[in-house]
Parts: sequence; C-alpha cells; structure tokens
Amino acid sequence: MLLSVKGLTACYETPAGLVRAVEDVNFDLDKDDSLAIVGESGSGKTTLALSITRILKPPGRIMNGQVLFEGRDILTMPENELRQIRGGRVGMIFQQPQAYLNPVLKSGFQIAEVLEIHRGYDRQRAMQEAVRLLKEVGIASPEETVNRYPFELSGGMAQRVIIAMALACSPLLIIADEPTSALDVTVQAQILETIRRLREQRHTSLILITHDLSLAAAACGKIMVMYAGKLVEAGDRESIFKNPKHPYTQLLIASIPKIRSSEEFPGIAGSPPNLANPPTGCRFHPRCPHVMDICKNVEPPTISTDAGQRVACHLYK
Amino acid sequence: MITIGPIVYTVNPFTVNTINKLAPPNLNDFFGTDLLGRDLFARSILGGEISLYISTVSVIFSLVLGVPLGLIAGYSKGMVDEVIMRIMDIILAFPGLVLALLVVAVLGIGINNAIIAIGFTGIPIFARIVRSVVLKISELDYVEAARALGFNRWRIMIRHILPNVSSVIILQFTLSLAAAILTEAALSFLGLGAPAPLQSLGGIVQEGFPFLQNAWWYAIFPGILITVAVLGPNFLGDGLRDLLDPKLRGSS
Repeated sequence: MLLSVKGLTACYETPAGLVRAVEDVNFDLDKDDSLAIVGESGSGKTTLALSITRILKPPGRIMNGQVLFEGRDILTMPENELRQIRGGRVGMIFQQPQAYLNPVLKSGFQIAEVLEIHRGYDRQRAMQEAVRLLKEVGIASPEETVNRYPFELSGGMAQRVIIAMALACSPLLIIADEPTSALDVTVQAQILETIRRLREQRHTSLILITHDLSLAAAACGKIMVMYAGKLVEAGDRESIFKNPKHPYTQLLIASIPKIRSSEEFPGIAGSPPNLANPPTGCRFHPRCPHVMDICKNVEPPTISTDAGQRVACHLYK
Repeated sequence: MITIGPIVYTVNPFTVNTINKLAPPNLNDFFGTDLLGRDLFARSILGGEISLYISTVSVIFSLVLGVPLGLIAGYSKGMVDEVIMRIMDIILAFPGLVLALLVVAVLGIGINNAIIAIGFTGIPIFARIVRSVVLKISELDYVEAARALGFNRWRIMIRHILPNVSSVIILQFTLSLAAAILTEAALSFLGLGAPAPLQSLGGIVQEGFPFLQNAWWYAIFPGILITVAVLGPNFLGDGLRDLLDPKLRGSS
C-alpha cells in the first residue's frame, strides 16, 4: 500500500463558523494505481489534495485522520522529514500553471532547484537534467525553454514545466489538481497524454483531481466521487460507469453531454450545500430523486458492494 | 556632477587664500570663495561627496537590517511579526531627525556615527514596506508550489520571495537616499555631521548662513547642490524600476 487515507477531516475557520470541507474520507492507493477524485466545485477535492501533503494553510486546518504514505503518517511527521516527501516522493501539479511558477525566476532554474535540494546535484548537472526533463515532458526546444521566464511561456508549456518539476525526483506519487482545466481543449488532450505516458514509463501512482468525469475515465483506473466534503462512491472505472450505485453518481453520469443525442440535458437540480451549515443526514438528500425519510436524519454509512464498490447511501443495505 | 567633479576640477579645496576671501562667483571660482578664500566650487564638490557617502552608506545600513526584519515578519506572521513590527513602530514614532540627533548625542560626532544615526532611523521604513509586500506574495500560488516541492522556509524567503520584492526595495532605496541626504544636510547644518575640515554640503551652508546678505553665493550654491542631490535618486529610482522588472523587459 503506497498511500492510505483514514478518516481525514479538514476544515476552514471562517467568520461564519467551521466549514468542514473534507469529512471522514477514507481511501487507499496502491503502487502504480491511478485514482480520480471527482466532484463539483466546493466538494472538497482540492482541500483533500492539499491535506495529503499537509500544505493546507490557515484558515484551513486538518482536524482528524491519518495519511499513511509508505506506512508513515504524514500528518504527524516532523517538518524536515515532510520536506523530503514533498517534491521528492510526492509531486504536485496545479490548475493554474502560470500562477504556480515564480515570475522572476527562469523556468530552468526552477526545475534545477528541485534537483539541487532533493538530489544534491550541483547547478551544472541539475541544469542538464532540467533540459532532459523538459524534453521528456514534450517541449520541443528545451535548451531555449530553460532560459525563459514563465511569462514567456504559453499555458501548455508552463504546465509542462510544472510537470517536469513534479517529476524531477522520480516521485512515487503525483497529485494533479485539475491539471488541464485552465488550458484549451487541444492542449488539454496533449497534457493528459503526456501525464499518461510518463506514468506508464515511470510506474508512478497518480491522484487526479477533476470535475470532469470523462477526463477521470480517460486517465484513471479508479474513481472516487465526492459530494459536499464526503465520499459518496468509490470503485473501479468500469463498475462506476456501468453500474453507478449512488444517485449522485448516476445523475453525474447522465449529465455527460452526448454528441449524437437530441435528448434534453438532465443536469442536477439545486445547488451544492453551504458547508458551514450542511444538511442533516445524507448531504445529498435535498437534491436526491430517491430521497427517503431516513435520508433526512441519519447519515448513511459507507458500505462495500459485491462488485468492490464503496457507496454511502441508504438505498443499499 | 558630484561624482565626476573631482576628476575634472582639480583645484585644492583646502588652499587658503585670505586675500581673495568672500569673492563673488567669477571665471576662476565658479561659486566664489569662502571666508578663508577657499574655492567654494571645489569645497562643494568635496562636501557633496561626503554627503553622498554618508547618506548612501546609511541607507545601505537601514536596508541590510530592515529588509531581513520585514521578510521574516511578513513570512512568519503571528507573534514574530507582532514583536518585530511593534519595535519598528517604536523607532518610527520618533521624528527621524530627532532620533538621529539622539543617536549622535549618545555616540558623539563623526562620519561613522552620522551614518549609524541616519541608518538607524531608516530601518523601520524598509521593514514595513518589505513586510507588506511579503504578506501579499506569501499567499500566492507559486509560494505554495515551493512548499509543495519541499523547500525550507529560508529558501522560500530568500530565493523565491525576495526577488519578487526587489523592485520595491530598489525604489525605496532611492526614496530613502533622497531623505537621507536631507537628514544628513540637517545634521551637518546643526554641526553634528562630518566635522571640519571635511565638511559636507550642510556644513558649508551653515558656514555661509551668516553671510547671506553680503555673500549670498556662500550658502546658496551648496544649497542648490543639496536640492539636485535629492532629486537625482528619485529619477534614478524610476529608471531602475523600469529596467529591473522582467515584465517590462522585452522578451527575446
């Protein structure tokens, strides 16, 4: 087991009270596995990603739980050991590539710095490695790119630089938080293909955070659906798509636009709840088409189905 | 003019010529002569050099102490920030000149003490402006990215945040330099700056002050030089900022 998240709860302290952005989330990830965490805005996906390497900063706070990485709990680890893991063993890719590169440092330097810190390379060797990494992530002219400032790069190139930084130390796990959302569609496909190819070559595990179910299906073997900070359903890609259990997952899949269909686009009525004051019982009950009395008061337990799915819904006992 | 003066104008500022005392400006002595017949132009150039030396070194002094304090306060936040900034507030609560007078009174008169006095009063200005920018920058995504890559706090502060503050520091350096030149002139005018015979511009103005009615050039010309010296760094700052901002530099 590479990563095991147990009972993770993370909050934001706001004037309106504690907002439980992630509540009691459990999942495991094996080596070479890929997991997509899917959910709409405000479902706690990003907070979960930041909590895994403990870079969630105030007003965010991790309240509870364990994040076992190779058997050791990241949440109680001393800061200096944690720094070895960040960047060294776990790489992160972010949504806005331009914003995540330092504007006054050349892109080559930013990649080289990771190698200098984690691998102890000298500047010259680190720069050579940076050029090689840029070539590996599919940049056509790596020698020129290392000398460019981030504002001289296109969005797609900047994201490739970020990927090169994340991959620099051959991490065991990559956490990609909406890596393609800020890019246009053709670049999205290229970046996704790059991530997929590198993952296969290097046997790196992947956690992909996205709001896009079709993207999740294209990139990951396992899918976990979150709603209002809670896990609603998790399982293999095939079982989630062929046999979604939770009404929310069913509605999400039904909402994927179909090109040749003239059917009305169903969507999901209502909007996500305010997490400072979440609905009682099942958090999805105000929007659920199958709502029962029990859903309004009792929080559904997460149960495992025969097909290996996990689902939190009162419809299944 | 003050920097290239000594090279092109080689009249000895210490040559005493009492016959030619208090001569008005003429072709030989552009600024006229002083009470002891010394060439005022040569003296003003030397005085300007001393003024610039004292004010530059004192601003470097405030920068070297103020910038790290602001950086640490802005990045650490919380208690560290409170303690550092309240101390800065205490220093800032005294008017600059009064504080400088106090420091000179304690340390005694001399060029080095003038530097410490002026430099000390400038520390909180750097600390404050750096802190305010660091507060903003440390919330940005690329700082989060640096943390996600496992860099330690000192590296993040020095390699990732500081370069983004540099244009502000440079701008503040030039503004502080202008202010330091004024403070230095005031200190020397009060006789607490560089001691004679190595007088700075403020000292010469003070010397010439009693003769304002019959030898106006004695105080006026060094005074004009002070004005020019204060304006210069301000223009320099604007130019440097444009030059150093990578976003304004053309991409190759």
